[in-house]
Amino acid sequence: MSSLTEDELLAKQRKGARVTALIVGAIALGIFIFTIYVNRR
Amino acid sequence: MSTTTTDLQNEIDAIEGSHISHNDHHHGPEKGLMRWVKTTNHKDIGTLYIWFAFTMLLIGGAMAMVIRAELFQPGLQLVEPQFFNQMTTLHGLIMVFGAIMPAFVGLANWQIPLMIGAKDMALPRMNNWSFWILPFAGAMLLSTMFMQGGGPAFGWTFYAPLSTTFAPASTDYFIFAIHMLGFSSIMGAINVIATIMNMRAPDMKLMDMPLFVWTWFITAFLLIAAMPVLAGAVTMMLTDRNFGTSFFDAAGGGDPVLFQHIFWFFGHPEVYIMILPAFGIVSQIIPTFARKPLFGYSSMVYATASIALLSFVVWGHHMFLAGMPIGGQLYFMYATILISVPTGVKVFNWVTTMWRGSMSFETPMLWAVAFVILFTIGGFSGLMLGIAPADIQYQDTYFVVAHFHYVLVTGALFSIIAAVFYWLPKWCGRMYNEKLAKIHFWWAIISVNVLFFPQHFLGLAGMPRRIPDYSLQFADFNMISSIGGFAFGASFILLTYIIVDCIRNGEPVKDARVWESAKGLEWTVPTPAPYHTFDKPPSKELILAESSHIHVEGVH
Repeated sequence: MSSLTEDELLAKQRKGARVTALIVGAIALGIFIFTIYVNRR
Repeated sequence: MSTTTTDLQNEIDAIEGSHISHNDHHHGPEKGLMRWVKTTNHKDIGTLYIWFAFTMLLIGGAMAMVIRAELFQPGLQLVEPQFFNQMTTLHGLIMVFGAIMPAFVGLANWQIPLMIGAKDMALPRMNNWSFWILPFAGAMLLSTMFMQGGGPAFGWTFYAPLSTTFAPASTDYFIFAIHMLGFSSIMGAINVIATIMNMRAPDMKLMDMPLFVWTWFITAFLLIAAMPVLAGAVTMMLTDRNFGTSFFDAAGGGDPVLFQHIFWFFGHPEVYIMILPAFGIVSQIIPTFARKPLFGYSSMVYATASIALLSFVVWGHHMFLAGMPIGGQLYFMYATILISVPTGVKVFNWVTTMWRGSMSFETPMLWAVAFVILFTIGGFSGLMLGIAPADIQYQDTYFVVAHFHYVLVTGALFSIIAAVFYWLPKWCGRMYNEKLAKIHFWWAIISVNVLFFPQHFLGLAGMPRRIPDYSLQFADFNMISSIGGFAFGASFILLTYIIVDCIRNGEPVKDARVWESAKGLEWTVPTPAPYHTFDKPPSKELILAESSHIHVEGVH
């Protein structure tokens, strides 16, 4: 069991979740742009 | 008042605006309609998703009834061919994007936080936004039917140039609807990934996670990789239609076949987006009613990941007849057939889990067993279609229609029905009418086979798909198929009654563990599941004891 208090754990989890969401969102945006870029005419 | 209530929690609750009193985060839901508009609670949003999906299922089902009624006998009886094509197009789009996908997202919303010991989804406000985009997108898609020139009539695959040069004006609204649906799916996937990676109980390792969570985790990555490609495809359609580009226009130096490549690069993973969570559901239900730990847990995880990876390298099997070098056909054929290996691992693991189990056949188990048998039929016909030389015969026939309906109706949809019967008592604290539910099961299972099995024969005999009229030799099987279709459609009236009756009048369930042999953290919270759960993360001991794949001696 983690030594963090529940509040610290929640804060840490939410911070990590925002970073994860940012990275994954950036990947999705990258794939969208790449799809159009490689098919340009 | 919980001892865990703190300023930080109050701040989070205040930001998310999900309650009235900020002094106590053990509040119930807000009263009235605005509860559903403003909610950031994963259980509320899960409920919204599931009801939305069910509504769209009924609308898409009504369109299927129009299709089967027209095909009841040869000749044109009820609708114009153009309207028939709108029905096939919208039926497919609504079922894929409006019914199956949102239903799985709804189940993910309800279950993932409960199964990993998290308080909620990682990004609750985005979760609210993800859902509330859907009704507007769905309404926009449906509104195209009432526009001048009619709605989209080019099939759910919307191949260019049918969907660009020769499409009605409403296609731009269709494009916007697809953009919004895709945006909603991507946000949902981001939320699932962030929740599983960051919010799960600190003592839960990845390989401790239930299979439903694992399959959704992998599905979310498929969504992240596939949906932006679809968004790219419809964006290029939009610019071809309105801004003078020529991505898919041969006259301007573009290539219509390019559209098919892009579409199926999205489209094949999309198939797995709609079936991997189903695998997870069945992997939760079978151990419960076989009273045995899931056989081959880690092989299930690796098989799911393998299927997901392979799904990105087989898209060409949808295009064997679009003009492809023989080497390309061979590659796509072998790669496609390779998918049967991890899929077979799963089917054998489910069967082995049941082998010598102390089985009982409550309604969720009936649906799960039906899934294993009927999805396997859909898988086998998929193998047949994956054989390039044989596909010359099957391409664009009713054999394809039979194949993907076995996969998506008796596969994806049946798993969703299984999941609803399995978890509904936990959600609402009431038990459904088991007798009626079993009558509904047998009604649906017989009628769905009467509906779809004859379509194999129609396809093998050469009946093309997407036609409102056909030659006389196809009449008998079409009539049988339509009778099955009407019976299957009617079964949803009974299903609606069973669910509403359960929620309103069902016998109250008090046990936290609704099914005596069920394992999982969701069965450790009270029934019905409280508005807020897991203020305190579950312990390692509890996680291991509630694992459906690890047998702990002396523990329930």
